[in-house]
Amino acid sequence: MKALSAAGLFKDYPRVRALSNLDLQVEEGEIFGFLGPNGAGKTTFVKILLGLVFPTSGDVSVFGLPVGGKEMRRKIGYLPENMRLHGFLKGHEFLDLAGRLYGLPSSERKAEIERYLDIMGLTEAAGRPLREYSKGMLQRIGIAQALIHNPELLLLDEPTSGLDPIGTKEVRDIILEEKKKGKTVFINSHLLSEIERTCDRVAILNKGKLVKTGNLGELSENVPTILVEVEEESQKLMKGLAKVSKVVWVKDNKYHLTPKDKNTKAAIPEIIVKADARLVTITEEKESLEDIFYRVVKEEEGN
Amino acid sequence: MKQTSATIGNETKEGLRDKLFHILLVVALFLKQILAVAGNTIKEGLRNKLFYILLGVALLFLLLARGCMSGDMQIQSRQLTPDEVAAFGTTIGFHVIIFWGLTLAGLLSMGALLGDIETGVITVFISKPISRFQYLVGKFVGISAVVLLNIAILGAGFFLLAYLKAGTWPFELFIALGVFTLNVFMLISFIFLVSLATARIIAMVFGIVGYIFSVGIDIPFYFDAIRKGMEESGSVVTLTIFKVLYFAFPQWGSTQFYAASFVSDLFGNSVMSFWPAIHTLVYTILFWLLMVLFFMRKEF
Repeated sequence: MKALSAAGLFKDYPRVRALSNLDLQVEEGEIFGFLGPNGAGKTTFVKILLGLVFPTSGDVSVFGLPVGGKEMRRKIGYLPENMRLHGFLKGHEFLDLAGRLYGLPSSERKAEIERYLDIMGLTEAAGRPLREYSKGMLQRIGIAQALIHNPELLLLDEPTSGLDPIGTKEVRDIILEEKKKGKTVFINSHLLSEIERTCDRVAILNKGKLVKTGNLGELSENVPTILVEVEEESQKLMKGLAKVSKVVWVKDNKYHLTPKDKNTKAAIPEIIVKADARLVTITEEKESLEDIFYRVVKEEEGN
Repeated sequence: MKQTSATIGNETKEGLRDKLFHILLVVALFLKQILAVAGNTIKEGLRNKLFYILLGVALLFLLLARGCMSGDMQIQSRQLTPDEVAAFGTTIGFHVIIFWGLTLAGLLSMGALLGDIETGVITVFISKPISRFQYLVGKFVGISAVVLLNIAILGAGFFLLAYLKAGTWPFELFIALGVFTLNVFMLISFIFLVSLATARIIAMVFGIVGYIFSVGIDIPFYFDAIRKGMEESGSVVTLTIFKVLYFAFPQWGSTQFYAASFVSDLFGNSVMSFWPAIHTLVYTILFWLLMVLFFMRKEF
């Protein structure tokens, strides 16, 4: 059975089509990354799954159950993006509320609250009101409330947002631990490096349309990316490199190129000289998820 | 053959028992989830400074009102008996209590739903396996419980003050406050409904203006003397407009007068005393129907 399945899904808002003919399937037990630029429709899709937003047309199901029903929501643990909580609640009270809403019996609730407070490193802060929590602590308690009823599917919207490197690693470990238990994890995220490290498969969404789905091997064009590092970025250099690349993007003085053909690499030194740029290094590297993402989105926008 | 029939009969009984048990479990979970939302709303209300500020101010007003419970008093040149004076004082106390109770109800209910929607906290609730209806009921029960607790504390406070000042135990005050809870329920439902379609402050203003308007409209229909005066001096058109408004508008005013009549009957109340309570119940149900319809279709 598919953990999650969407077919011909459309969602129209008064002035914009948020999702357009979306077909997506997530296998049971996999960690699935859902990528897309801002406004691509990722959160709308998650909200449809939870019954917070209604689809205009199309079919969606979770473990074969239609979305919106209580039975289906009992199988899901959800961490919203920028989770807002009642600041007056204490940490353990918030988890207790979540447990009650999931219908957990008192003894189980108590045991799970203690367990997850411990796992998330929040035992000492459990008696403090949530308004006094840092962003990282809020994120961790948010994950705890999503896990407290032992869900079959975890929906995580930007799970590492606001976390420091240690917190990020801890969340990554929790996600991998859930996978070991056979759980399905669906992650919405902008942090491509995190997705690359944890996900079995990814889908890239752009302007409501599903552009690509597959594992990294399937998404990559198996062409090495060229990384050109210079001392200072310039528009002239960007224009020059764009002429010999399928896609080029720059970050921290590093230009990432998907070559147009096998002559690209040889043409780069001349372009650098013409642009009066100072070269630091030119290297070839395997196409990362970040490269794939930029290439796929740019190609889609070009179409 | 007989044994087979008996076995089938036992299986049917067991099946029915299982079904009944299952239904009971579902109902128990349904109620527990509502109570979870209500409990959270009660915590929110009781950890709000506003609750204690309004309670303090109201107690201060009640301390001042206790002065009306004894002494010489005349109404229409008639000297009131000590019991009538005590009843008059209790009426003042009743109105002080309901004024502050209604203020708290308005202030808490205007942000109860909208606050959760604006901050996005609502997604934490309704992404869980509870229905939107359960969430609404939980919120309503929670706010009502906080307001009723406020009214109960004030009622008990005045009850003691009345004894200390006039030596009477005004038990009828609690009957009056009990009847008045209908008004609290209707006001909370009304503000919930309006707050779903507009800004919270507008919802509050709508509630207050609606309440005051209702009191104004209902006065001539509840107090016989005033109605007779109007019938003798007012135009037919004006009276007809008043009548239409009286029946069509929520009767907060009449319910309040009806509740107050349990404390004292100094001004002569209408023969239709029970009617406002029914009217208020019907309107509360109507507000709920609209609210559920609207809320079920809302996207978050």
